[in-house]
Amino acid sequence: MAKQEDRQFSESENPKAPNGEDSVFDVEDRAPAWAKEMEKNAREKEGADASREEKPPEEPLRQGRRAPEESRTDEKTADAAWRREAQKVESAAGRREEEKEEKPVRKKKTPAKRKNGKRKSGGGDERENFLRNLTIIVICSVLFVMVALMVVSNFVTGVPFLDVPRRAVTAVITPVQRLFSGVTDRVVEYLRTLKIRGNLEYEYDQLLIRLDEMATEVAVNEELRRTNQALYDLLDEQERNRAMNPVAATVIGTVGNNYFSTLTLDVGSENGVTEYMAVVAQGGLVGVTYEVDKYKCQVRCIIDSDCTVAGLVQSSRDQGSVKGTLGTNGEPMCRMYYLPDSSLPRPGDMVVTSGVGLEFPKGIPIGYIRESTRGMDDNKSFVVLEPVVDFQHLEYVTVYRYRPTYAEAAQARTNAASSIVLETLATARPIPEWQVGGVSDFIFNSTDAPKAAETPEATETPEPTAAPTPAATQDPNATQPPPNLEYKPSENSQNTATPSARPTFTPTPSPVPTPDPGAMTVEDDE
Amino acid sequence: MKALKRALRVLILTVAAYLLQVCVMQYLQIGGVAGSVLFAVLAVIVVSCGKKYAFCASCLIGMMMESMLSNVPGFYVIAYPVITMLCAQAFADMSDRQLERRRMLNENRRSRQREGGGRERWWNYLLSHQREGDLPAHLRIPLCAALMDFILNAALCVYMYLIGEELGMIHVARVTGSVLYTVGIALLLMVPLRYILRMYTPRKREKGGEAL
Repeated sequence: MAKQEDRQFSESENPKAPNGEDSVFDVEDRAPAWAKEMEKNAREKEGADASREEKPPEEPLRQGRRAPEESRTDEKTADAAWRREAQKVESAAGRREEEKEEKPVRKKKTPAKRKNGKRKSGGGDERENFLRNLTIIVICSVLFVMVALMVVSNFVTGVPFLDVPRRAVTAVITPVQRLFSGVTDRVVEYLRTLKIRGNLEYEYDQLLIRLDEMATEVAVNEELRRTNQALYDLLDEQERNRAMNPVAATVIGTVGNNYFSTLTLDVGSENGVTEYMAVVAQGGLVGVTYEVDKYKCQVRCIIDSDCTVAGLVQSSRDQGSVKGTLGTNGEPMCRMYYLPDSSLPRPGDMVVTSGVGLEFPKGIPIGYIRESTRGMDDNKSFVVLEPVVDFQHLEYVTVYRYRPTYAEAAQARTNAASSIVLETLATARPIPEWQVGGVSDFIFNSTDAPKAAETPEATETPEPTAAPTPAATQDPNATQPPPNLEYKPSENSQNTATPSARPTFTPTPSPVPTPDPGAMTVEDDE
Repeated sequence: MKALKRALRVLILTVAAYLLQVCVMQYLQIGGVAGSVLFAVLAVIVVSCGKKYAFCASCLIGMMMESMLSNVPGFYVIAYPVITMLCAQAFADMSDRQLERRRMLNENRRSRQREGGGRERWWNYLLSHQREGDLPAHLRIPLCAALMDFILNAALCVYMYLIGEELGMIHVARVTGSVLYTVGIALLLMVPLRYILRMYTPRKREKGGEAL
């Protein structure tokens, strides 16, 4: 109400139509009853206060605008305008209040009302609700009847009418279901294909991984197989020559250059190894031990230029000396010197140790005769041997700790002396008779030369009797070999674990010279 | 027009649920147990649209199942409407009359308690108190689906027993698995289905009025 009065006051200060054209009658015609009564009261009040000389607050403004004789008329006009504006304002405010009163307060509906938002007052809404409910009831009834018919059709047969709902539903649903099923099958097939492809890719990756593992495993197995075969051959060889007191050794170092070839083994004097013992591998002679330490020893290979062993051509029994050629021409071969002049070995003949010289077991294969041009060339006094052993692939070897007795050495020398003419020489170390036994008879009866018994110095010398066989008798690991001990090569010595690129030679049936010297390789002398 | 649109949506949902059930769910079995999309959709319709829509949808589903997959003659066409209406009694929105009746009953109980002068015992409250409002819709939907699937599976187990099969723990496990699977489907589908049914759409603004 205070706001309304302020508004009236402001409107009175700035009347919209103060020119006096708007008459009071217009206001009375258009004003409501309460406005007329208000105007009447105001007039009465003006009549009562007519004697007063006070002017209304608006007087200065009005006097300033109009002439004094018109001021009274203007006052009436201004009051009428003020009242008219007040009526307008009040009527507008009244309309707003009425609207507010008429406007229902919107409350939050309950879920049931929200769901059934159709509930409205009025006859039209009721009719609409009635129609809606009727429709729903009809639909439900139709569905119920159809359900009932379908149920009854299961028990009553022969009535086509009962199958109408079923046929109708089937007719409608079948094509839709067929279409949807087709789409579903395609989607499922596609997903299954993706799954199969994913599985295949996964299996492929797994197989690749498995393949790598298998390849590694195969390589490891192959290595194990080769190692096993080598050890088996080693064991077999040791079993065959158990009397030679073998000991297995591993090659822990190799020194191979253009001139020397030596090996380092992991056995030494602790294992009973001494110098000048035979080292065998792959069924052939590897070399001779030297520089024996407590836990290791060096082996000088037969291809080394400094290594010389006594050899024997197995077929012709011709003896000679085998020496390495590595320092001579750089080839890992051997040469056999000092063969009899009448001997012409055949290519392919095997050369074995003769047991002469070094205290070697007899019969260890050294190599095969590769070329035999001796006699065809004056400069050549040797035959070339190709060693049995593949010196590039030595891993395991066998050291024969065998030390022959003097008797065996003498026997070996006897065998070697079959083609040697012995000369009577004064020897400082006559062979004692008690050791030689019957074997010495063969030796000394074969020739007339040795007269050892007649030598007075020999009998007086106490040394031979003091230590006749110092190495053999004092070596604890040395075994007492049976008489005529000889190396027993493997029957399948050619089938070694690590086959070399060595060509196989077939010995000729008779010891005749090679018919075609041009076909043979000729080795140049240095 | 609005009711017609809603009926059309319910019809489409029903047919889609049937097609999903008969064409897709066979590929989505878990442990040899397939859930029921039909009951999940029916639960959504029960809670969101009311009993009448649910009855129509269940009748439609029953007729389709009976016509296309009638392994037990007359079973599905009866079971689906009956089960749906049973569950609708428990999970559909309560009417205003029902709400008012419950409110009056509770008020009478409280009045009697006040006149008696003593405190209300908890068992008395537990036995005679009646809920005066509906549970949240997103809670009622999975419960309704679980109850419907359980009733159907129980009925099928009874049928199996009546034809001579021995019931054992495997059947219990299958029923449990089916119910859980159906609940999972209902939880998964209720929000999009209610969106399709325009349950999340804000009401239109009137001219110069506030949002309803």
